[in-house]
Amino acid sequence: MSDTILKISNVSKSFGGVKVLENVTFEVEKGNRHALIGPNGAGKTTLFNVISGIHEPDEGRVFFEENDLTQFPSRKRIEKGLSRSFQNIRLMPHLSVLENVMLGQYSRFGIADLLKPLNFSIESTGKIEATETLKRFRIDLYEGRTVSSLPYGVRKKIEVVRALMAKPRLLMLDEPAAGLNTEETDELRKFLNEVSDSGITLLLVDHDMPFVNSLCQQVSVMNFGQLIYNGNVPGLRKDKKVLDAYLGSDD
Amino acid sequence: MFFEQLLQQVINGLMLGSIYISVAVAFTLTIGILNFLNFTIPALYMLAGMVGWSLSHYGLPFGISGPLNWAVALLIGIVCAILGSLLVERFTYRYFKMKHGDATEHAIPLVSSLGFLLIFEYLILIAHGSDTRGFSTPFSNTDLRLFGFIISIPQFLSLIFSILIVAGLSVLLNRTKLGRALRAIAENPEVATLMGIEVNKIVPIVFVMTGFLCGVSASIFAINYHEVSPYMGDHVGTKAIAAMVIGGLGSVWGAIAGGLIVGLSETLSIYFFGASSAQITVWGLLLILLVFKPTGLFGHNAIGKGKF
Repeated sequence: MSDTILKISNVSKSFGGVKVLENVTFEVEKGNRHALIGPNGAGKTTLFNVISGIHEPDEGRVFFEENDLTQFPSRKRIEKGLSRSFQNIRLMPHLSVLENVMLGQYSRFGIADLLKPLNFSIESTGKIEATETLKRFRIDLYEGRTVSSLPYGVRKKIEVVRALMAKPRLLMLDEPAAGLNTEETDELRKFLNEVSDSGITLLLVDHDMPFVNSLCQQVSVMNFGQLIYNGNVPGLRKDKKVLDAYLGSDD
Repeated sequence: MFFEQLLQQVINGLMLGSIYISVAVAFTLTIGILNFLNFTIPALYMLAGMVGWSLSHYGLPFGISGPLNWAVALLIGIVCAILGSLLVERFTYRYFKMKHGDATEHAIPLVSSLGFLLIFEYLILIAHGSDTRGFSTPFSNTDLRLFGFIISIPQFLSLIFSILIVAGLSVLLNRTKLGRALRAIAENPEVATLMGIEVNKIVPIVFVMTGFLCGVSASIFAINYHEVSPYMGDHVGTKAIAAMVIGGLGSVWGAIAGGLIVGLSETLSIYFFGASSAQITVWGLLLILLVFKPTGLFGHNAIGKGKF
């Protein structure tokens, strides 16, 4: 188990008396494609928010590689190599695609970088890097367009590319396939496989089981804020707790 | 003859407009990026002018003196405006942001910036009284006569200078890393933070720009009109807000157009209807424009989104 990249240990979180996460513990192995699934309201997005630093857990700790991230602000977590996309697209609608993607690089810039006179000239390396990444994932066609004018599927991809610009070692995707048609989902799977092949660990939340089946090697299931399954994908269908959560139990 | 006089008024109006441009841009920056109507702007403008006057009148500190005293005094005035602006950032915007999460959702920063306006104004009143003070520079009589029209050289340079500053600002916003970060904050400060943009460190830069623009504008006013007063900010403040709204909230180039239009309508109104008519004309024009084009000349629908 020395290859653990992310470790969630006994994390609990409540909002106004409602326990959203209850003593959640699990690990993500390095290089893996790990899915986090569960019915609506199971606490998946809250767990994501705890991992990425939007919420602080009431109890428990979050470890990434050797670091205890629990007290780190979002920016520092991105710096350490952990970036994410969002369930409802959070791009800047009036900025161009290229600019949106380049925002992903800002965790690497301190205030001094922004004020350096050199940077007042037309920038090069960051732009080249962004253009190349867009090209690599075949969305460079849209480079100069503003995001609000683009189809949903393309915007979803741009979010992933933006998260990649921070050069993460763990990429967290919150429902990347939601709202996509079959064709777009296939395209996304190919795209995420490429990302995974480049050595980035994936942790994703999704509802689309065929998508999860075909992409992920490891799966964790949550229900009512608790982790009820952690293992490989085939084992999932035989697990009684999971079947109960999804189909309802007999009693 | 009438036509020539009218044209002279047009020239004067455009020159006056150059004063409004920088202040209108200062307003537009804070409202466009931070969604915050910063009422301290007129006070910062006045602060720069009055500090500049008092230093050139009573002499610079440390016994420095020379032929450029007035210029050094104005530079110190600009620095004071910048420092004042940072003080406002610290105690209105940042303080309430820390306390309530989002400063812009509350009227409190707006009201407390109004408080700063009054505090700055009355501090200067206590120090220097309410009289209008003469500001002398070597340019008292350097008018250029061109085809029979009088163009004041410092005014003309001021106009060019104002437009250059705003053009520079536009390049900064659109072509630099800092500009992109600022536009991202304008669109969505929360997501900008999640992207790792250091919003808390970048926001003061907006206030530095604000102070700088006010200071420069006040210096231009002092050089051109040879006078300053503790109330100079109020006059320019209302005109600059009108200029910003006419140009469109959050649009830098709109602020230029708005500034020139306000300057022009003010001088023409004084020429035709007398001095008291200026405010009525400017605000009447604004109200009529808003009926037909609520977003202003260059504005967009949503305030603070997709500007610049």
